[in-house]
Amino acid sequence: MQIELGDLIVAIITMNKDAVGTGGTAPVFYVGNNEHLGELSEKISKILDGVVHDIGMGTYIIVKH
Amino acid sequence: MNKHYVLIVPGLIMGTFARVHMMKSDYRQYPTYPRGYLSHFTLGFIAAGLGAVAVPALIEKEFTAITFLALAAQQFREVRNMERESLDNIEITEMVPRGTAYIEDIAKTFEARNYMAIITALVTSTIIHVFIILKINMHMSIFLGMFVGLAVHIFIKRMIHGEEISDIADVKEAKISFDGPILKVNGIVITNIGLQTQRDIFLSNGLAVEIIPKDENAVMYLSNMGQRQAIQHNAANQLGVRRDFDEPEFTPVAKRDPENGNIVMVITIMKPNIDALIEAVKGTPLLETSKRKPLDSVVGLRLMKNRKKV
Repeated sequence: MQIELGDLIVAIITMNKDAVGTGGTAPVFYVGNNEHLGELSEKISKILDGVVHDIGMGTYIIVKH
Repeated sequence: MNKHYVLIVPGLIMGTFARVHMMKSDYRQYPTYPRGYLSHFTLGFIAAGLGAVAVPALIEKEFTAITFLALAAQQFREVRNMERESLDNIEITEMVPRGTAYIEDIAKTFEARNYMAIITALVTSTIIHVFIILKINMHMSIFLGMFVGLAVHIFIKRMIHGEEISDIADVKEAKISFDGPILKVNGIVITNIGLQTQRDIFLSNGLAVEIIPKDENAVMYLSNMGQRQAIQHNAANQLGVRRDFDEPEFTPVAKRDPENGNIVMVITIMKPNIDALIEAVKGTPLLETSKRKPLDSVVGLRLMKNRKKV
């Protein structure tokens, strides 16, 4: 039997340290600029087969649906 | 005993023919597996045999033989289970899954087709027997029996032939747009697409349709999640979805407009062709499990009357 996690934030990538606290289940990656934000999000989402969502405030979350 | 072959053989032929004839029309519901064909042909032949020997068994006063029909019913429920299990097992390999409702519908259809083989064979042998009792020439009796068997087969085929989306709804092209990261189709929010590269793919390869139900019954049909999954599967299967297993954001999505019950669906396709997509959506079978008829209820009628007054 295969058990999978669904609708779970698996990573947070942000330019805005104030928007995201530490802790929780998902690792937080801090980046310096918009370009790096997109690049890193894409790389991590490819590894985790997750979907990148832009929640504003310079923050992307990767969600496993 | 030999006289019974006059009843058994035509019944067997007609029952098997009925099953084989139905196999031709199921390309949409099932891939053309040669091994699948063989197993269904064999089961159809067995079903036809059971139907064909029922009348001779009664003539010989072998009433216990009828209990074999009950055994057959049990056997064909197994066919349903077999189909369900088989499709369930390959579900994880599908780029866009069929969904449990579609699988259940296909499994039921396969079970019903075996019953159709039994009924066709039974009717054929019964009619031949009746004409022989009426002292009609044997060849003529066989011909008439097979003719009536064919008519019954065609009647049942039409009866179990389900409706399609085009019978209950209009399908029109819809517009894909982005409001920041929010993907919208005709103004209805679908999902949040974070990366610009993926938004560009939606704008270049994405197609969207709006499914507009013709009446309140259709609104209920289309609200069913299984029905929507079946539409997505059919569209992806026939047009070729532009995604791989590690690109979940390009999974087709069908969402409902909560105001009017319209369904909007977005899909990314390798070679976008809106006419082909509309055709694929229109041709999706209407699942038995999604059928609701609120207009037949007292409440539904009352709501309709109120609406007319307004």
